[in-house]
Amino acid sequence: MSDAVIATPAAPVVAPRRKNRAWEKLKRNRSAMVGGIFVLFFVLLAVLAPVLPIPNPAATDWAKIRLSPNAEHWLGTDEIGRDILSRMIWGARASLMAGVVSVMIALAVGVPLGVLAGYFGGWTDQIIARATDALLAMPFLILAIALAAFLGPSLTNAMIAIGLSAVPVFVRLTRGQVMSVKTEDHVEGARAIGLGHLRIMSRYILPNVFPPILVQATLTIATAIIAEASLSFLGLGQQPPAPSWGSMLATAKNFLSQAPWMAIWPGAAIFLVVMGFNLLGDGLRDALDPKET
Amino acid sequence: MSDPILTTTALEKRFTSGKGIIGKPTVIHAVNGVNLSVMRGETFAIVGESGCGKSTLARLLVRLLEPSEGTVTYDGRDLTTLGAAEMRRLRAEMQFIFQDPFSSLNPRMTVETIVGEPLLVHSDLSRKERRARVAELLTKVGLRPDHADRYPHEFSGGQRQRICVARALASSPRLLIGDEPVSALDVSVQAQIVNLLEDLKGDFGLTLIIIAHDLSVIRHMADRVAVMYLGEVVELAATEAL
Repeated sequence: MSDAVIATPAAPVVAPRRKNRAWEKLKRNRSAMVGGIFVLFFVLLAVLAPVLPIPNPAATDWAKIRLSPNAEHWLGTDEIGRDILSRMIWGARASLMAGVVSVMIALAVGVPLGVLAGYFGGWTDQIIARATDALLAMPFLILAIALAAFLGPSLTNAMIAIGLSAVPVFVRLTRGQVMSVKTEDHVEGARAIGLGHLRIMSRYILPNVFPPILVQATLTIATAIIAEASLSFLGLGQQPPAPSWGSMLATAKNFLSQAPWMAIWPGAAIFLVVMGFNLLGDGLRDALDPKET
Repeated sequence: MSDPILTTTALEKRFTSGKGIIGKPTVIHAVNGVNLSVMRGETFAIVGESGCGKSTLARLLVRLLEPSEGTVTYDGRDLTTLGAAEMRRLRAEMQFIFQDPFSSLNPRMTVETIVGEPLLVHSDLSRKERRARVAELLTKVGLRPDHADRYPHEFSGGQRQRICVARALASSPRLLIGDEPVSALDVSVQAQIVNLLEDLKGDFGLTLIIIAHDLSVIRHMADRVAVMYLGEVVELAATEAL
């Protein structure tokens, strides 16, 4: 009986799915694509390092000290005759690992804290937000250096130090996003249905705060790579003889006039990969913004 | 159609704002000493101008907000003293429809997930059974079963409100509260949703509580009307009497 009274709704217009739209937008963004290509290039180098036909990055040759770029050593050699190309490629592993792993750490710690603070409010929020503010008062790099010095010099500890230093940024971002999503009716609706807090946080809050966090994560990878280079430059990151761009720069600074290529390559690599991640992050931000077409 | 399903006594909600270090906080009495009884099977309307506390009252009735004073009794049980787990279980019986169909659906879930969500919590149906039930519910509210795989942004306002209605019905509730369920919709669509709610009320044996500021919607739906003004119920009468 009810079917007779209910007016038949007009056939809805089939719109493309949201995910595809973001991807289409990203593909059209030329600078994001260039950034993506840079990132992809360095990721490939890092992944393929063990199988590429390059000399051992730690092998020294006292007959070939500080050679300028030539046919045998495309990017030259360093102060104890190691092939710079090889060290660059292996160094990409350290840099990218440091970037990705430390951001993972920051996400794993920061996002849950931010969700808790934003969702529950009150005392939970006060404690988490105040602690975050205190950490944010300290400059990112100083905090990372302090933590790395405290934990002891190694690449792993540098990654932990950088990751922990980046936590407050993610807590604050997530908290703010959660607070705005929380007021939307569908979250209240979820409560009205009778869903528990955990379920609401994981299925209603988290998916809706994810895009800005993804953007921030991409941009933070760039910052983390610079931080790793800085820590290695100071001797707190990758330990010799294992190569990293930062430690290569640290050595190169002693030979700037005699062997400028020792500094140019790692410097350029850091520049390019950081720019790549920044361009990609900016592109993602535009692509994931539903208000822009 | 005689015993009350929902009763409030001296229900009160205060909001405190401007709680600074200096100066007194401002206290707003959004709902002030409301006594209501909603009878089983009736359509009860709450009307009043904007800002008179209608929506706050609606949320208090299902304990989406905690009252400052007073009690809400549903089917003989005092909701205000129920534990969190017990309250969640009871929510199967009382469902809520929001005013804005654009923000009341999670944009990242398919219609099937949205409508099936109450079943996930309140029943132990298998995935397949849930899908079948969702299809049935969608047909009931005038949508097609194949709409289940789409996302909310692919629908118009009226269709979204139908999805909301379908979700509200999923857990077979006995009480349905609509917070201005049609005021965000076009007039032609309003009539459709109003008719839909009336039909479903008969089919499912629901008690309806409708919040509205528009008397024309109320006139041909409600059995009784409570008029609110500044947080208080100032008049309560059968619809014909108003």
